[in-house]
Amino acid sequence: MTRALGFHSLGDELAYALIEKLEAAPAQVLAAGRVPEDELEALVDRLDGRKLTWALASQEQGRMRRVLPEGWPLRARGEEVLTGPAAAAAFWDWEHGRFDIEDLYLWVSARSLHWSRGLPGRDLSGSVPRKGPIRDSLRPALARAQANRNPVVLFIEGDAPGAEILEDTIRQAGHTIRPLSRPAEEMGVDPAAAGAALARLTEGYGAMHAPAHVDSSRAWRRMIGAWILVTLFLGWAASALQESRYQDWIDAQNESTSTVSSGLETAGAAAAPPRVWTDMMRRRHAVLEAMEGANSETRLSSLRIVTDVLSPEIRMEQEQVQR
Amino acid sequence: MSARPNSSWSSGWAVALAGFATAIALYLWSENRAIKFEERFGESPTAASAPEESASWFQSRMQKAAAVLPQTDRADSSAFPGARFQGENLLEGTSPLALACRAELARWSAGGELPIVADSLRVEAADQDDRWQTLIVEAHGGEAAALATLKHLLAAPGSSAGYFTDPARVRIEVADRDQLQFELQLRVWPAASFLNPRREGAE
Repeated sequence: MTRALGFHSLGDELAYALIEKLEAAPAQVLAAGRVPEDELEALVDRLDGRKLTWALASQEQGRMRRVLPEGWPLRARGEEVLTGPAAAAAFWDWEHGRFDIEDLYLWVSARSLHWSRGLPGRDLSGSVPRKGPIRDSLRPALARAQANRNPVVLFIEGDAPGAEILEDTIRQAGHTIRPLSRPAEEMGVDPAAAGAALARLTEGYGAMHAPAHVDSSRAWRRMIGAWILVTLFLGWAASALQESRYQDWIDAQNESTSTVSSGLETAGAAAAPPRVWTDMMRRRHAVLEAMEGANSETRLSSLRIVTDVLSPEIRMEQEQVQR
Repeated sequence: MSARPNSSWSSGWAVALAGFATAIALYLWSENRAIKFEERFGESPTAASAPEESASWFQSRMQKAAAVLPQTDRADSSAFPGARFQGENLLEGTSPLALACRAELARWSAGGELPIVADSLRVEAADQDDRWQTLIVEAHGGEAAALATLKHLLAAPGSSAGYFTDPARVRIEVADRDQLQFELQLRVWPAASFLNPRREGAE
């Protein structure tokens, strides 16, 4: 497979990228943009993406999300499809040779500060939600990255505020800064979405995870459904067994009766239900059925039923008139 | 993804509801089947009864039925005012046949509240082996109610009453003014009749 879809969860929106990676060639972005969550399904259909491999870069409270969002239209089937946005974005730029292994990768967006150090998807990476002054987000990122004056490759999204303050703070911490530049054809492409898709097409990216098990309420409902299905199966099996017992019972009874009739009855077989009893029951049933003949459209005029004690059959004469 | 319909929620409950509905349907079907079997054979063998156990199942059922035969009070014509009553001597004593016939007669009187009126009652010892006696009822009643009552009375009793009835002859004629005239001959079989293997051999 040479194409993959990547997504980056951004609150109520999703950044997406459809990329193509041919062998021995850099990945190309075929389509990219942002879409409201409730239009994702239509987008996937529009991109003919249901058969494509895909990945989602997502984080919650600064941690990689471990479960797929509710109502996610694409199926994972146990595959590793979840990753963190920082590692995915760094992987995209790393695969395009835009920074070196000793560089500290920093991507500043309006919502988060993403960082990665070492091999993207292999070594350290993380995201710090932007709350308050940018310095307050940068310091824990630098601390966690354990980047001791390593050069910083910095990519600042166009609408991310606080760029100048950020650069000053980085320099004050003793790092040199090298702006990361992207080609014009990648304008508007979310690097985390593109990197997530690329990671599915490339070996060596280790930060991809399979979705964790479904939440407990959904598991509970599934368990109830499973138990009901099991109960249904058992009910069906019991019913089939009962049917088999009935048939065997009738067969045994007929066999016993014929033995009795031929004078070869043994003491044990004599205990079987006698023919005279089953004949009586069948006569009763037949008489009742015959009496059901009068319905709302017709009116009983006369009915004669005669039975014989030696036979299950009944003889019936009936006259009815239209109401 | 909270804005979109929650498909996992609905699919989970759909499975559960479908399973529940099917379970109910299966239960109703099973119950209906058991009822039909009982109508036909009197009682269903349990699922646990293996074919080789069917004989003992029948024996134990009949023994149990014979034990519940009610000790009905002596039947007399006072329960059927205006009816001719013959064969009362066959209702004397505590033999299973006499008890079964008295119990059946009591059903046909039911305290005089049934929508049929007995014109004539007769008890005959029709079987040479004394397995059953014949109860002959001539009665009349309003068309719809009497027919429904007749069906009800013919449908019962079963082994739970300790005896069985077996229509030998049913004659129903429409008389004047939406009245039905009945003549019924019922064989009354106490459950004990089916417990004697020698008599089965005579079948």
